[in-house]
Amino acid sequence: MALGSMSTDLTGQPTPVAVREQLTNLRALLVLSILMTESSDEDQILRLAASCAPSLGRWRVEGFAFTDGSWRSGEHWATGQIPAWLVDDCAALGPAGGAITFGNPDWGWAYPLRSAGGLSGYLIARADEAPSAEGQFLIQVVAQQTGVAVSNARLHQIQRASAEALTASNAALEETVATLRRGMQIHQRLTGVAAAGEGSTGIADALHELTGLPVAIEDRYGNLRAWAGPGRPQPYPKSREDRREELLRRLQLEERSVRAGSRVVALASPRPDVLGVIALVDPDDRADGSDIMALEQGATVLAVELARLRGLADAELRLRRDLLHDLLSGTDDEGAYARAEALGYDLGQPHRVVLIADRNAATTGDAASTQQDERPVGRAGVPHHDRFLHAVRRALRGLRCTALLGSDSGAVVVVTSCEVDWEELRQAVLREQGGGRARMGVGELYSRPSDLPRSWREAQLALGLHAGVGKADQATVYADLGVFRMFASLPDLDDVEDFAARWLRPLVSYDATKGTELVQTLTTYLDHGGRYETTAQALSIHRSTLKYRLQRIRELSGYDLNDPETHFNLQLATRAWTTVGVMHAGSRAASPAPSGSPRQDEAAAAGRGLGFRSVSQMLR
Amino acid sequence: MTGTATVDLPGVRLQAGDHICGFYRAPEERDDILIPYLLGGLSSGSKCTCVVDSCAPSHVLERLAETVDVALLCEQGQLEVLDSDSTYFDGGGFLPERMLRFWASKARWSGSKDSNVVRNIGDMTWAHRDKPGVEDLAMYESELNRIMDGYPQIVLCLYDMNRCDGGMVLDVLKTHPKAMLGGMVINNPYYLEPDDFLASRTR
Repeated sequence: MALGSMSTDLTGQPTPVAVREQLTNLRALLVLSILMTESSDEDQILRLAASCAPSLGRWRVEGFAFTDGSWRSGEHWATGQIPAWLVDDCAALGPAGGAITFGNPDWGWAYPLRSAGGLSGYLIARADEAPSAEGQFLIQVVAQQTGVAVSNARLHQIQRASAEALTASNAALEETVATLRRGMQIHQRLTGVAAAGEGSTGIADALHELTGLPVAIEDRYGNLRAWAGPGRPQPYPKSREDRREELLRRLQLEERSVRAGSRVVALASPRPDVLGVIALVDPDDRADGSDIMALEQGATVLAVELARLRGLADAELRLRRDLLHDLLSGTDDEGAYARAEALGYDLGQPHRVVLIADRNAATTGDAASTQQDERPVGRAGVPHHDRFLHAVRRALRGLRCTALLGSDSGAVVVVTSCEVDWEELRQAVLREQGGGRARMGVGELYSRPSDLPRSWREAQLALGLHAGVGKADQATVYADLGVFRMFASLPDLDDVEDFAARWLRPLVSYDATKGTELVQTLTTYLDHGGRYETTAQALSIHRSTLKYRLQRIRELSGYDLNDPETHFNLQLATRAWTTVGVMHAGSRAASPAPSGSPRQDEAAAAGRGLGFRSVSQMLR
Repeated sequence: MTGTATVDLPGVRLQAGDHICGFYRAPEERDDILIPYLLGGLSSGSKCTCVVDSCAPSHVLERLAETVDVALLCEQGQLEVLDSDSTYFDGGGFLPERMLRFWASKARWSGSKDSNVVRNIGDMTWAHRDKPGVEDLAMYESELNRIMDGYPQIVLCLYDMNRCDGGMVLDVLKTHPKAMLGGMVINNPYYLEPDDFLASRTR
């Protein structure tokens, strides 16, 4: 039955069937209301409400106008804003609803969608003619139940959204807690390693244990320092220097770990130094966030560990240098023994001083530039001077020599008890350095530390005299200097100089005025036993030039070089002159004076390099 | 029809002669009604006929097989699980009279004891298909009430709420003396008898 009008009998009373139909409609609406209220889908509720109209009477749902201005059509389910033709009517509606005009004779009414939460909108009903009172009551019931169901659905949605937000918050919180726990676990494990002093190996083991990935720890240059986990490469590969430097620059720029090929790498770098790197070997890219966190914390612990080790090494180095300095400048025996013992060095045996001069540094000016600290920088950013020092250290180690090492302006000072073939040591230094030139002066062996300044001065003299006589690079032992050693040890150098001057004055004067090298020519000639061929070779001149020079020497001095007596005295005089030259060169190094011959300049350079003020003073 | 049958649906008590509409919103809810309903009938020796449309008969049989020997029950004829194509749409379209005869034939199962009530259940999503005759659903449901008194049977019609519009829901409710909602049965003493319903449709 179209319930817009209820059938009546002849008395005008509703027929039993009509009453039953009205009752079943209400009963059905009750069930429909339950179904709508159980639904959390607002769209489904509105569809049910709109589509039930034909079963209840000859009216239809034009749509639903909500208080927020939204609209849902009852026929085609179009959504949007309340249509313009309805806006004014809706604006005039109160909580009880009211009439709607469609611009034609159609009946229209807005029924409020109400709930405990208040008015949410209106059900707009439309019919060709106004439904009966019973029919309008049914529409009102539909609207009321729809309002409650919609309100319920919206509350449900809010609750569901809140529940979802709460669930998401809980999940995020759980993840945060898990991350924190993991972080604490990582922190405790790594700080435990640091506290136990397990070093790089302990850090690598801990990181491997935490991540399950192989771990490599390398020094700044890519040399392996520790490995943990399976698959350690043999031999350990070393990347090219330029690639290594590029990786280090990238790590410093990123300020966190980066993936480099099959590895995730972090820098152990207490700014601005780079002490090493730590890497997770992860070819399958399975390192997760907590693994990266462990790696970066591991890098921090490693940085602290490496900085501590470097600090210890620096301190020991400083103590060794201080001890070396004091041994060379003079110190008491007891104090020296105690300090050496503290450093783990045995000074109880006789020691000597050996000086090794880097001839390459001398030619580049490095030897004289200590005060300005303008050291040439070579391979891998390491100063040339330091490389020479390292070469000497490695050479000594190769010969199983223990020693105290220091450096001074292009020369390396070695205090050692070792007895080795000194020329063999010099050659080993050259090998370690990869070639070049070096001279060596070796002082005498002394049993007491307080005598080492003397050994140092002897080494300096040996080095200086060697340069003075213009011989090829070699190890010069003070004890083997012969007549030079005798001249140098005389207390009054003036007598030696007078003796030399008396025999060589014409030649010295001639050299000074003409710029010739007659004294040197004579010295070399006598040193080579009067043999023309070897003398010319030593002087790098032609044989005829040598003969011409010797003729000039005979003419200027009037000496017969073939006379044994003259020969002997001239040999003594040239050696005395060389000794005096070296001595004076040492003096000029302390108080600048005009340079003498080129050889004397070289000797002076050697003397300056060794930092002595006066050779004659030193030998006293 | 007199006599009482205890149904295993929790909290639900039905009588022979009941014609019930049930609403569900998800397949799980459907199964929560359908499976206990059939198991209750099978356990009491009742003939049970099930016509499904929103799932395959095999789905129902597999669920039942978790509890009973479905092969034996099917062989004995106590259990029949069919699909809508072979029943409601047998021949292509929906003919109410044919389906009414179908249910009446099931109610006359020879193995049924006097104390047993036959349990029939129809999964009514077929009514949403684009097939000839589906528009006669409400009339069919109303006419089904006529045969309920003739045989000791219970008929349960399951509707998917997500696919029903308000008009269909109201028509279904008006033609069923009882409705099952969320495990609860609501009586509708004012449901329209077939003649009254048909008369209301024609006014």
